[in-house]
Amino acid sequence: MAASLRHMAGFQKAFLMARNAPRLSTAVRAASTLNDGASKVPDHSMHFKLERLWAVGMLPILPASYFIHGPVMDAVLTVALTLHIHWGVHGVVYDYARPYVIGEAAAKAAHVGVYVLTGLLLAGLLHFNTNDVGITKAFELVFSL
Amino acid sequence: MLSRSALLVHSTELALNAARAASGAAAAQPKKTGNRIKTFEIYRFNPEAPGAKPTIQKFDVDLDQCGTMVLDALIKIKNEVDPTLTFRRSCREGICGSCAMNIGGQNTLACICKIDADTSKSTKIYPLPHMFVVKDLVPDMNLFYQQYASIQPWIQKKTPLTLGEKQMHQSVAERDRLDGLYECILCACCSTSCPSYWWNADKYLGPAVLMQAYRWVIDSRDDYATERLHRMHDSFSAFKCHTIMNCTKTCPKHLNPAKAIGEIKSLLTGFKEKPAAEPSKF
Repeated sequence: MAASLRHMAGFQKAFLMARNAPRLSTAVRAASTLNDGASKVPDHSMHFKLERLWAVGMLPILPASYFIHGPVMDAVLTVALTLHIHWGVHGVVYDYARPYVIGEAAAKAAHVGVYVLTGLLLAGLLHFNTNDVGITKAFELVFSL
Repeated sequence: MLSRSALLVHSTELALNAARAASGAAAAQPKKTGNRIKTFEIYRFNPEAPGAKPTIQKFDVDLDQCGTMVLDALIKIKNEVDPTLTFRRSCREGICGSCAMNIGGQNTLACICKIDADTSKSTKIYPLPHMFVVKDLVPDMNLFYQQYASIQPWIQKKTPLTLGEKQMHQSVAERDRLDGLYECILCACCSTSCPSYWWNADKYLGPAVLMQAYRWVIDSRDDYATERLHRMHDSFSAFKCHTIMNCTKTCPKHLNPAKAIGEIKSLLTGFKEKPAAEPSKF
């Protein structure tokens, strides 16, 4: 039942969109499809672009961090990793923690949980950088074992 | 009238046979003998039976008495063993897209999928994955068609024109851009092989529909590319594609929906722009 309701909502939206659109008949009128609400849909393209550019930007940072150690590299890694991991985990949650599967409340909790996790990750890394040896130094120690 | 009643009699007879076969279960079915007996394990689901659960039913087919394609075997089973076996088919030559189903773990068209001649292994046939099943191998395609309608798959012009007055000019290069896009038969093999579409079918358009969206966006005669793109620039419609590439791998027409989605993403993010239409020379 829940499935068919979900379907119905989709049908209705698509149906309304299709009904309001200009149709091709013998005399074709110039009619705008701008007013079908499409332009009001939230634009995700900037976010998508930023995510890709961020990932590409990380490509030189990761090998560089093998050679360059110090507080600056620690800070750069912290910011780069935190945002990258946040977007990645958020994508996973969107795919697998759906209201249809785990329920409305649990899905909402999962989304909040992503922000909590990201916050903890950022706080943890910053704490590690300021009060402990820092990320690059820690790897140096691990490799020297 | 006479022929119709004869047909009715014939179908009642078939139904009776089926009922007999069903009540006798597998035991009543005589064990086939022959050199090339192939077993098909077919997904069965009859929603009309109370408390129905999907089951797998085995059918033995003598490949020497059967055509080469999986659809031939299905039709043979329906004609000779169990007329209640339900599936869609029409053109039997891979142009209508009706007989799309999951054969041996791969979405494809039964009519252009050869029967695996290795009789030591059975061939498993399921309906398209992650679709609501109407009966046996028939999936509910309503959502898919509504999504197709939502991309408005027809030419839209900003200038008024009367059909038949003059041609809508398109250069050879402009026409070439539609190759590999317009051939899609909307069988839904790609969309139903896509995990993103499995998880988010309500919000993600899926490869088949996105490829058609791109086909209208990139058409030089269409004036509404921007509006078409705006309709799917939210975080799900197109951007839920994770480039898993199942769509391209499974396409029975050997098209490349993943590439089309990539082009849509390029257009949405401004990495590419739709080329301006060449002015008409007529």
